[in-house]
Amino acid sequence: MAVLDDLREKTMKGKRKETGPLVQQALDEGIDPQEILDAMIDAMGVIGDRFSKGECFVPEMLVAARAMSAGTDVLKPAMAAGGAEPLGHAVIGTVKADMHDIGKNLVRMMIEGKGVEIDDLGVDVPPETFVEYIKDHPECKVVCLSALLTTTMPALEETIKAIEDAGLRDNVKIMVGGAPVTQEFADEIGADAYTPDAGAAAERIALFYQE
Amino acid sequence: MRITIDDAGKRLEVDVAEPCSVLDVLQAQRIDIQATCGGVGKCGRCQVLVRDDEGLSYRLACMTPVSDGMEVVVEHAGAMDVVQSGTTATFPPDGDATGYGLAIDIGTTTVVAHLHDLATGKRLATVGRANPQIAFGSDVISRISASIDGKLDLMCGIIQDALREMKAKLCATAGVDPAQVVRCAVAGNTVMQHIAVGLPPDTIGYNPFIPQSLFGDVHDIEGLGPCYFARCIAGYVGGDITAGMLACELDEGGTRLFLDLGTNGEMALAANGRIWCCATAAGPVFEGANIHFGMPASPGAISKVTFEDGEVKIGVVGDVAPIGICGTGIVDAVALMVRLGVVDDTGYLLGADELEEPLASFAGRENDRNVFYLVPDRSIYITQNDVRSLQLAKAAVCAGILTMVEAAGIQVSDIGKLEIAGGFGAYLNLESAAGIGLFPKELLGCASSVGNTSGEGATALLVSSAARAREDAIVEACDYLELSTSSEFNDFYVEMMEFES
Repeated sequence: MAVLDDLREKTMKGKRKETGPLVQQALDEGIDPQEILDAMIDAMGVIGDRFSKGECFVPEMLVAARAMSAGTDVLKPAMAAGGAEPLGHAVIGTVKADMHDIGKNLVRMMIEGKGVEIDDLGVDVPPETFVEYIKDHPECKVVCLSALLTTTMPALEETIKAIEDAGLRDNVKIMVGGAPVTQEFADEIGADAYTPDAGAAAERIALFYQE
Repeated sequence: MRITIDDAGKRLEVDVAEPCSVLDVLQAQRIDIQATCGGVGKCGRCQVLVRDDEGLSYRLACMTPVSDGMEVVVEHAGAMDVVQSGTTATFPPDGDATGYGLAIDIGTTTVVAHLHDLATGKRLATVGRANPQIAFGSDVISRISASIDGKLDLMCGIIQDALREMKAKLCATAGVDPAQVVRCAVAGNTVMQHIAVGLPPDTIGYNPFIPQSLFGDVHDIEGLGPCYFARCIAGYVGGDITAGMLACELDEGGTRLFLDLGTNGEMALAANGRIWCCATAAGPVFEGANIHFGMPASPGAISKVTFEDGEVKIGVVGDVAPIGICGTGIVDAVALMVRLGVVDDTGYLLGADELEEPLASFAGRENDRNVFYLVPDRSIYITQNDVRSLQLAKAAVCAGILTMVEAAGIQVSDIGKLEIAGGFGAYLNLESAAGIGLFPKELLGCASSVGNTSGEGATALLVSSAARAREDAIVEACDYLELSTSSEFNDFYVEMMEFES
């Protein structure tokens, strides 16, 4: 299907103004909404993989994610009408006292690019806010925590502890990331997963929904 | 357990009671060792040669537990090169002063001290060295983390020891009786000033980044006497920047931009009678950290890279065989690669198969990634990740400039003078800096390097009460911009990550 190839390519190149019309064209041609979404998910997967290898960078990833977002805006009504379900639900935020936004946003966009519905609690998010969110959203199965400073890394542990203390630890999987975070640190604080970059985070979260 | 440490040829035997890492022992022995990441096994800087039951190999000190009979060899990159300043303002010494004083600049990476005759203001001697706290990490955040981990007293002790040693050395060089040294003036970033007087810098490490003190006061340090600490403006705009603005007299009129490119990227913009200032998380890339073959600007560091007659030409600090590359070398190399089209405007480093001769023969692959070779034996090269690290750093600096320009309500073209301070700035090739987009290209014509302005400002504060009054006026004129919560900054940051070829 030529239109899907075109959509894949335009998503990768970040052509935000072209992805919406292409999605519409695909719908008009009677292509299944899920197939259209998968084309864009493929494209983001390629971008994430290239990012992991250092072959593309933050700006390209951002424009690609925005292009996909323009496409999904057009696609959403059709998905809803067709009764299509997202891959799963998740929540993301930068931990308490840490104001870093860009890395967390990249991870969120890549996860959205996997077809996951993810709520973003923003930056400087206290542990209680995550706890409240999980209580109020039983459909949320994965919590993604970001910390960009060695000084705010302890807040990752505090947040996990707060979720445990609230008796909600078994309800969710917890992923952690950020420049100073390591696999060892993630293991030490009892996180379920660590990924070194946004593309890898999106790959990892998808596995949780397949378990 | 007993281990043997060979510290640049000096051998010592150490008894270790508790299980700990080799890095812990080296830090406790106050041996200079780089641990850029703060000892979590990420930066690879604390490599030492270890001989034990498992044989002889290079290992990370932070990840290597001490065992009985272990031998550890620490190699040093060499002493720090002291950058002299080409500037600057001359403030008249106070007429009634007698004796001698020290003007001290405590950088995150380098410490410099000058001995002055207080009556004449004349500089008698200068000494520089690496900041011994480098063992606790190469950036201020790592030092704050170390403080939170209970290492404040240790870090305070080693910097004060270093200052006392420097004083002794200066007095010996100039033939001055140490008892005649009656006072000091100190300028450093806010975190360095906290640690130097034993104040916890912990709260600067997290939002809202409020320091315990903004200084502008006198602290008594044993063996140094009363030490005046320069006024700080915020957690990440410290006394070194105030001193730098003072040395350049940034408040004397005109629209002027001041950049201090050390381990942090601090900057100030004077316009319309006010001064906007901010700090960017440029990271320690400009000091050679987070770069595959990165190192400080010490002997063996590639500091210049050009391309002539189809060949890559390098300049090396100390004219010795190259062992790595320092910040200015990285800026030169990447600027060159962008200009030659080896790096495209997104920052992608092209492979040999995507290039033509003569460039293709300098391109290759290492660890399954494209690289660009700088030396004929291919032992030193620039990696794709190096380019990415530099992109983040230069985008942060340039975005900081644009955010201040917007806050001041002016245009980049209104700026009449760009002064670049810091050890890195002194050796920086300005054309290369503009080439990678460290600052807007149109400022190249009015840009100049001004050297270690922090030390010059400390000198002014040491000898002149007029300078201390001027310092007050400068601080009063300052408006601090917090970039970590600025959406304008975030937008500029992403926008400035690309290169303009």
